[in-house]
Amino acid sequence: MTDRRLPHHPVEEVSRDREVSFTFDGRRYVAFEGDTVGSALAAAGAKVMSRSFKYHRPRGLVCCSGRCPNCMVDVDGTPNVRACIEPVRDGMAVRGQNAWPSVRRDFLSVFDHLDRVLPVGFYYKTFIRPRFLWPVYEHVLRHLAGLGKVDIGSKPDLHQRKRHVHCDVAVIGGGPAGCLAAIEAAAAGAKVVLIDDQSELGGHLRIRTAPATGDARIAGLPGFEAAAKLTALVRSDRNIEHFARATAFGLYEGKLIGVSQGNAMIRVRALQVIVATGAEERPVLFQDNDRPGVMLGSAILRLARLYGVKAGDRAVVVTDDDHGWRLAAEIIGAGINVVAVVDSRNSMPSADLVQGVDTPGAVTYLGAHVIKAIGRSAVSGIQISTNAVKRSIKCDLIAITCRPEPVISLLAQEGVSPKFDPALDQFVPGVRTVGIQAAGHVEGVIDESIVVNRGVAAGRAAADAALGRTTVHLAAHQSGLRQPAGQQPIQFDLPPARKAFVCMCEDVTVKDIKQAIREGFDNIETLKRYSTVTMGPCQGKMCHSLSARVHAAVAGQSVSITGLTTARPPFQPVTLAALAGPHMAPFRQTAIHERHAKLGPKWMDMGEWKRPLLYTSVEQECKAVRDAVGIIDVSTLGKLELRGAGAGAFLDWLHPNRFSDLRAGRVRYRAMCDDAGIVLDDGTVARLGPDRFLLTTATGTIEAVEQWFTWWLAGSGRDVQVTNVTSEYAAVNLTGPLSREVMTRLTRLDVSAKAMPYLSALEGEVAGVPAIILRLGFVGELGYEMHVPADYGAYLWDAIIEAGHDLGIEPFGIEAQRVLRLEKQHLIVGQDTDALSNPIESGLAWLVKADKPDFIGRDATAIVAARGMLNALVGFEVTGEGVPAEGSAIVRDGHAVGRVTSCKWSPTLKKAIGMGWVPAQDAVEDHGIAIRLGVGTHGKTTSGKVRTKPFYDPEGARLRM
Amino acid sequence: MTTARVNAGNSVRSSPLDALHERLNARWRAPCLRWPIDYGNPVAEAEAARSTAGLIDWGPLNKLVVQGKGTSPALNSAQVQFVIGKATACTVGGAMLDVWSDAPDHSILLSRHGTALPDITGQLVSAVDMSSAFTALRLIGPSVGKIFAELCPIDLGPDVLHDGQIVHGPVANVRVTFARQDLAALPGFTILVPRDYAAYMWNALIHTGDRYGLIPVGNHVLEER
Ligand code: FES
Ligand code: FES
Repeated sequence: MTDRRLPHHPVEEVSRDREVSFTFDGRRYVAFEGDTVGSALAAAGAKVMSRSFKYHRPRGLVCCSGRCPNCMVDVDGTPNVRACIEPVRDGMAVRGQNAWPSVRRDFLSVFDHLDRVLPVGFYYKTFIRPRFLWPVYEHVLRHLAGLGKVDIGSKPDLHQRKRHVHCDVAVIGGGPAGCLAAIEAAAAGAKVVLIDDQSELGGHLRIRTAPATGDARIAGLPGFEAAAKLTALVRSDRNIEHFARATAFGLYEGKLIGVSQGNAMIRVRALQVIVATGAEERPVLFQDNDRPGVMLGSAILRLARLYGVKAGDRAVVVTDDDHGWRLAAEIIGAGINVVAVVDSRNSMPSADLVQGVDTPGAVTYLGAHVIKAIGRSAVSGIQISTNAVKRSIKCDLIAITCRPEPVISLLAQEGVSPKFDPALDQFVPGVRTVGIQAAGHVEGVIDESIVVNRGVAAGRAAADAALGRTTVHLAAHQSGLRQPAGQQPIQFDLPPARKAFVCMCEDVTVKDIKQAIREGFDNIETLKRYSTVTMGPCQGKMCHSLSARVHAAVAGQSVSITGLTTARPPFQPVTLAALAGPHMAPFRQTAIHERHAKLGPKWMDMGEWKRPLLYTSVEQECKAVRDAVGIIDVSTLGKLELRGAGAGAFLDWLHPNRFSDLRAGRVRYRAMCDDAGIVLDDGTVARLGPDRFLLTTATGTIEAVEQWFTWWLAGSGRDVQVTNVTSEYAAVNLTGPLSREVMTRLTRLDVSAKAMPYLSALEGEVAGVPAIILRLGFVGELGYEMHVPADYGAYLWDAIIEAGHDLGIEPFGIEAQRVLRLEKQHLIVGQDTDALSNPIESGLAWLVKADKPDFIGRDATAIVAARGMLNALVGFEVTGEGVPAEGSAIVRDGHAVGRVTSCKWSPTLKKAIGMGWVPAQDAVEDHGIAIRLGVGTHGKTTSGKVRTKPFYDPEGARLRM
Repeated sequence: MTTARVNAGNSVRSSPLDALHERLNARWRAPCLRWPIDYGNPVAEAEAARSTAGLIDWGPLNKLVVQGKGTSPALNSAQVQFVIGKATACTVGGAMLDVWSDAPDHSILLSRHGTALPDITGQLVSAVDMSSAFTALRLIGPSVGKIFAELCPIDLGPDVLHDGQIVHGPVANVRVTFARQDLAALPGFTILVPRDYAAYMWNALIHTGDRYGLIPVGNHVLEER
């Protein structure tokens, strides 16, 4: 396995004395500790690591830095892991993905020959007809397409972490410009965070031997030593926190940076952000430019320097820029045989650059273009053309070393729109957003000493701005300084190739783009959506500007007119688990929760609340309430306390009915409407004093109701203070014919029918605890709703249960409560009403006091009253078979004319009863209705009869007892 | 009317975390005041607060929410001292009060159980007893900053949030009011969380703080100092 290993180099990250082993598609490989999966496979001579998305073409290492789609594998069940940056671990099982049976031999590569029947956008045009076959197509396509497979049976990773970090200056990118920016900002007194996706700092310097230039701290040192020096300076600085192997995947409004690091999700909030994400070599278009063995020059060097792996034995360097010559010299220095340099320019670069590649056998071709890569599953040669003469060169490695392009996506995410610089022939960052700086290669700066100085200047400027010393923004770098003398514009020609890939993620070729534009998708944004170019897992890193160039060339316009597609987060893939973070879903428990838990009820979630649904059985619980006494925890009701001289009038303004005339000690039903007359919420209002009201709302609506109240109060000048007392009070409803008996055992207050009639309120002690007692009857029986300070809630519950024990007291849950209230036809807002329900049609017309001068929803309610009812909420009993599900349609002549909102089996009445919406003309006693029984019944219906009065105790005598 | 067995006067006031403390073998402040004085090892608990972090269910406290435009004049006339934006301590009628004045028209007064809350009256002001509404959780110790960095998006660094300063914001996805309240030289935070979320919040803090050495500690840690 060591036959592709090079001699040891000082920056090497592998420990050659420690071996680990892993499997790839079942075959065992031995690697060194510190290797990545990609470097270990490359060291063992494996070239094919994945298969392409659409054509199943063989793909191998291209960038070796996690930026392309070509090395995605499944590691221990996790799909889409980049092999080139995934450290090897002993025993790990790596599998190729998107291939059958393996990436080495993939039968699905037959699609590579079917490109004529799978043109761009084929999925919009084919597999549509006949319609009934779509499920079959879908099944097949789902199996053939996609990126990896998620193991849905796998356990979620519960070790995700979230961290919030705040700093004065955040620097993204740990190259020389980023490091020096961080060091300078820290020296100026700023608290700095430095985010870099590599294990060590230094960027491209790390893998280079040529001396660094620019700043005196590193000038003259071999690149890798300069990187080490920068690392030492950063590490020794207490003002800098360095996040290594951390990817800044998004730059959001407010200078928030989303960072993923291992299983941690870090949110960095900075006063100033410096983006120093550098530049990356641009891929080149030619036939089969995706063959394993076509690699970026920096990737070849990375593999050689960091892992001691030789990517090939005979390399051809393809370039259009001096950068390529420098890289070629480094590649040779790393021990790789370069047989040719293919430069699209017509003149030789400077003598010192030429000297760097002056090795025996290396031939230079000027004015040359690549026609194609030769070889089926890996490169075995290259065909070029010079002066219209075609020439083939034997090689197993094609090093793409064209002029690097600024990595500007993060900047673009935060409003720094990219602009095309014709002098540089590149997209560079446009006008900066306040607080966002760019430094170094990302600005389009090429000269290294300027790159370094820009980092220094950005660091200082950011620190000064963050610490409030200046508001002056670091000016964008001037174009003239970016381009060193002698730099020539890049030639860009569209190859006539059949498979020259613009977007390797999505298998989009030059031909596809031409075709899409012919079909009318001639705007870069629509082209993107139609062809999916730039929409793959690398998020356009490899094809963003390339696609713009191809579009411009095909459309016959300038690249600046074409522009770039919108950059959006995430810049780099991030797992959903990391985004979600640890499982932290808030829940709320009432003060009596533990008492319920001891009874082992069936729970239900109501919003964030945990509530007992059922303790024993609906029959038993209903029976206790109807025949003896039951108790239910209603602490989840929302509660507002209103105080102030204007409270009564304010309630009048917010409700269709009146409260200013409510006597102290009395309770009144309330339902609230919005401006459109739609019922928002209901509950009760108790007047506890001249200027004091206690208002209850339904469970889960309190936040909205409180906001509604606060909204209408703001700036009104009313003397009203609203306090949300939901958490302050635990509440129970003690109800049933024997509830008064229980009460008398707990309090010295007079709770008789005379002293405390239906809809009255009383304050006093119950079981020694201060309580507000309301006489209500939601379930239709004599009942006392008691609100006590929640710290005493559990104690009160115990006291009541003890006091009612011999009377047969039973706790009852939501399910029984819903049956009991249905027997009384008491509606539940939000269940029996919806976003179109007004009080008049909901059976609450009695509530609307049209004689009031004004209230919210008055006009809308008046319009409904004048227009007359179209629909009505009514009760019904099922006279046929079954219990229709909530939401079932009420039908006439096969058409839906209404719907069931609630329906339950009543153990008391021994029949199914419900509530629902019917046309207003049907809302008459005994009117027959047909109800569709719902899903799975093949349209079966049952019959029912409208009931306009409560099923149970229609006169209300029991609750007035 | 039967009044033979009126059960009154033996009321037990308990923290919303009562069951949780019980499982941790809490020793109670008093049989009728179920807040933990310690969990059986006061020395280890004090040491945790000193060296890593301790989580305290602070109480029982009485709490009064004072709000409305007349808040400041009403507090002044009741001789309650306050600094807007800060949690400060003052003595009113011999009783120690913590005054959380989070806005010009909103303050929360905290007093130890048994200590009377002052009578706050006036124009355009309301004072509502909210003793049960909030649970006061205190985190004390050198590691608390790291725990909050995982749970709260707000910058709580000592150079940003000074001792006593009040903030509203999410902790573990629940909106709470909290203040930096150091204990002697130990950094600390007090969270006022709606009591219904107390069990959730306690678990979220312990779960997150576990790797930083956070353990439950009793109220004695606060009283020792
Ligand atoms: S080679 Fe691994 S992501 Fe490009
Ligand atoms: S190459 Fe990745 S999206 Fe195009």
